[in-house]
Amino acid sequence: MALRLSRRKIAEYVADELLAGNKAVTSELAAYLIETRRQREVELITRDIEDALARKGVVIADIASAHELTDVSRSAITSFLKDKVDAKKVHLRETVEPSLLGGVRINVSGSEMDGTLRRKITKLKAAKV
Amino acid sequence: MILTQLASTTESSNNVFVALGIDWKLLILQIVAFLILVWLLGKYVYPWLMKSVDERQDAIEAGAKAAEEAKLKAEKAEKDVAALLAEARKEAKDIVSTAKDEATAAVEAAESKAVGRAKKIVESAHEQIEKDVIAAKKTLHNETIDLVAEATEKILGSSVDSKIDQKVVTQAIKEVQ
Repeated sequence: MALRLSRRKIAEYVADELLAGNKAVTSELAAYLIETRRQREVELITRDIEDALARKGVVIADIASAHELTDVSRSAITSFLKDKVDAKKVHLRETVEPSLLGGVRINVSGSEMDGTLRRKITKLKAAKV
Repeated sequence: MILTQLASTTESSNNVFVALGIDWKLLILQIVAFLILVWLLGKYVYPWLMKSVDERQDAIEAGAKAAEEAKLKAEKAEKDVAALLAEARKEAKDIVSTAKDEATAAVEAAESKAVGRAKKIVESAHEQIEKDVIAAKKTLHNETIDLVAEATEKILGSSVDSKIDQKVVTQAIKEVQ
């Protein structure tokens, strides 16, 4: 039976391996979690890995937009995030949500920056008395 | 002479009595009977009659006195009645005056109360109107926002394409920066 490691150690290890180019580490991680019956911690460990990567200068940002992002938009977002969180490398995890109408919503390490038209309409509706 | 005259007189008197058809014996008897009658009347009838008259007089005097007293009582009663009437009139006047004053006070109080109530009603109506106006403004404001939001949403949903979205994204990032 495999040794039970803390989430922080697992995250640090996986982050280092990913930065080293070892993409197979994800399969190892999955096997380890199944073997140690810690499947329910997948979300938490994933977040820990992202945090570990962020500390090492690699930021994974969740980007939600109404339309597929153009290269110009991606470039602008990447540039913005590099300045904002002082990252060396930014990886965008994109999702399309037509209900956002336009603009972009960025989630990085638990913080959210919402620049969507949906958000503006919601703010407009919140102005009701 | 005198005797002659007397005799003649007596004789003439007798003659006169006779001439007049008077019997002096019967006359004397009648005089005696009359005197007896007078005596009897004076002895028995007159005192009784006088007593009766006195009693009658006493009764009349008592009646007169009683009438006088009654008159005095009547006058006194009249005066009393007049005084009572005057007092009653005064009291009635006072009562009427008091009633008038009370009625006036009641009317004034009712007027004051009515004015106060009317004022409150007007104030309440004004407040209600102001509240209604504010509520209407709020409703209009909210409905306008809903309409604007809905219209904006529909317009944006149909008009924003990737090209416009790119500008929106760029603008959003600038705003965040």
